Amino acid sequence: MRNGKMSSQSSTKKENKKLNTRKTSVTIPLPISVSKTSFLTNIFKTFLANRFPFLSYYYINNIQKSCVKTRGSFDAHSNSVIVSEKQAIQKLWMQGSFGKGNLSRSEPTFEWRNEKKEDQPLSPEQITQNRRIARARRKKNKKNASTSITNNEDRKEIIDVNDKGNIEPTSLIDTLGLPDIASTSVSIEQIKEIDVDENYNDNKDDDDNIMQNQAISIQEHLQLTTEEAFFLCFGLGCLEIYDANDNLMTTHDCWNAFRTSSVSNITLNALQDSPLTQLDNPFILRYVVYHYFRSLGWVVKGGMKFGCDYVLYEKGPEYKHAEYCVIVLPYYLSANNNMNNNHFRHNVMTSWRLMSNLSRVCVQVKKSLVLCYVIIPPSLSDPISNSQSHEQIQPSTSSDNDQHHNDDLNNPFKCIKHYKIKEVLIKRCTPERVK
Amino acid sequence: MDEVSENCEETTVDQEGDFDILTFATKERKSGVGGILKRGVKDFEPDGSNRQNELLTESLNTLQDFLQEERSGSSRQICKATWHPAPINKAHITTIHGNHFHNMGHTIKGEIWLYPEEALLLMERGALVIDYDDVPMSIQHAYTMLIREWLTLEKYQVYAYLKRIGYTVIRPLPQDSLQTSTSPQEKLQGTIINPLSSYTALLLSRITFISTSFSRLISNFFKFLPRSDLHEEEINSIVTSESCDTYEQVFTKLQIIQRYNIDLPTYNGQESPYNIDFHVYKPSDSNKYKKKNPGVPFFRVVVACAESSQPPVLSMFENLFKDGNSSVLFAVVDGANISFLEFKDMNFKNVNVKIV
Repeated sequence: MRNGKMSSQSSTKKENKKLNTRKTSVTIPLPISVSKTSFLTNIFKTFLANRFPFLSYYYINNIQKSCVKTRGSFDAHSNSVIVSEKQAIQKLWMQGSFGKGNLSRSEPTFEWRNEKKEDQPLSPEQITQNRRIARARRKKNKKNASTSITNNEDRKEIIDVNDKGNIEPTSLIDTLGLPDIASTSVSIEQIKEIDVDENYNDNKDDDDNIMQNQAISIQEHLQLTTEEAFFLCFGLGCLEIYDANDNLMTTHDCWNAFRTSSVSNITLNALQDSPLTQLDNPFILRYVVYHYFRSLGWVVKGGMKFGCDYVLYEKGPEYKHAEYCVIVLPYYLSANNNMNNNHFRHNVMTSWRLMSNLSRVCVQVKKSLVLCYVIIPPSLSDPISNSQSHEQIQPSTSSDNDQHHNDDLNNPFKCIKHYKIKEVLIKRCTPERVK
Repeated sequence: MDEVSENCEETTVDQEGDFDILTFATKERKSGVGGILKRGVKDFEPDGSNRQNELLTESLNTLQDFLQEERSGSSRQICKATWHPAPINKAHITTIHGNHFHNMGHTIKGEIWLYPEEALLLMERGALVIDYDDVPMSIQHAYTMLIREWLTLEKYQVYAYLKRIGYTVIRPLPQDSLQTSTSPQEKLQGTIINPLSSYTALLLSRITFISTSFSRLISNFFKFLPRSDLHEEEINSIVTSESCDTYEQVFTKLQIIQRYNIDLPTYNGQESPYNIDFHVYKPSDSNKYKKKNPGVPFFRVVVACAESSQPPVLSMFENLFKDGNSSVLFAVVDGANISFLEFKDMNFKNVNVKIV
């Protein structure tokens, strides 16, 4: 009994060591602030704004200043929004696990990995790297113990020729001469030397001296997907997005830009209408699902690693493994709409084999598979109401309705509410084991 | 063997159906005729040794002998039946032996009748001989005669698989005779209203009415005052900083997307290709199983052929998730392999998520 208790304690300690030890026990779920007096503040603000418009301008501005908005810039090529300011990156990651560090696996840990402090807790990338080195060493030892090779050179060859993941990082640097940024701790001094040499050749002005003396450091930035960025902007109002020309994009601008960039160039040529008139635009479908789960409290991250669209975490990736894998599927209510949406992506529901592949992967990674259907209205001028019967829904044909439809489609505040969600959970079952 | 555990991080759940060339099984046999085949230990990979080859040949021979054995049954144990083809499509039991019929077959006017899948399984077990035109049918003959109309080969495969594991498998009973497990007493309990709670409910509803009308009065009052343009420009997002007291409120305000909860139109206007094929009851409940009132099934199984069908479209689920049942088990048959996938209606709004 006692032994059992001790081993469980030590295993949880091990778990804590492995996980991000910089997490705090109190978590803030979203990067906005709440206040106990918000009700009164709101009434006061409304009262002021209506009675004393000029006076309230300064007052409201001061309140808004205290809620500083984060700045992000939209990059259409990578279809992502970049946040560069260090404090903003920390805030977005710590409060809701938004985004991905561009020089890291997930959490922006580049600077952390390159600090040479004592007693520094290990970053996730370093932990994985150590685990792989240990595993490679164990395999090497086993092979040496069981095989009868006495020649040292042959043994070395076996080690080097091993599959990916078994090569130790030092050999990578030796053989290729390149630092592997994502998984090794490259010293800042090494990088400084490279950068300074290049700059020295280019600028032969008196800027030379300044360049040589300045410490050039690599700054990691945070990449937000368009869904994350739109949620922060449209849902929480804490992110301001600027376009390539440094102009501020309004929420409506973002809605249009993200919808346009979600359709690939190849599909654009094949499409008859502009992506802005599509009811089943890929960004709309993905965003509706993202928003739905975020509003229920889940942390939603990309599911590419598991072959699905999204993965749901309860508090964040650094606390517990994800519980659900989500697949986004369109469902068309109107018979006129495309039943097989070819430009959304290859539908997993077209064959049992694909379905079986996906559910097997989920079993192996211990997650439950959720099919999340987005019910697409026949048109926005005939909204889906939960009390309406469906035999009567016909797509409207008048041009007035079309205009109304398009205007609504360009306004996310009006348009998103018309999409509904239905979830179906899929589990593999073995009747032999269940009985 | 340590290498196995390091290289394969697979669970052992689905290794029973593994027919990989590299895995060898040693089979041992109990003494005497009619012994049961036992599975031995697997080797990891072929190592070209003589010993391994000998073991392999021996186990293959054992398997072959076992399969070649003639199956017989005592004439005192065998039931007899007559097959009635379409439109009846059932077997009529003429001689009864054994206790198979407590969870199989149905009685019509005192006579026991079997569905084709039940008859075929009993025949394969050697417990039943079926006559057709006064001549006993062979297994091949029975397969061609009985697997017709509703009963496809895939449905028979699923039926036989589940029965052999030990489940009780029946066709779904027609709706009017299907009884749910709630007793009449429980139904009445749900409708009794606690008089005290109804009074407090009334009081609460009056209070909320007064407070909402009061707040409505105030906001209407402000509406009539001169508006500033500042106010309209600020509506850029659903929620802003400092606009709520707690994070729970923030999340509630963000919940603008509803779930869909009315009947979807049937797929392409046609009948759904998927219906519940079998009701399955647990083997441990076999003592409690009563033919007239089987109760709520443990699984509701739909059989699908992997090659010729596709996974169900959302509107088909409406047909399957009926009468308060929220889960369906799909048995996907691909040749000799059957895999089971459970489809469950799920409402994430009911799932508790720890926010802070």
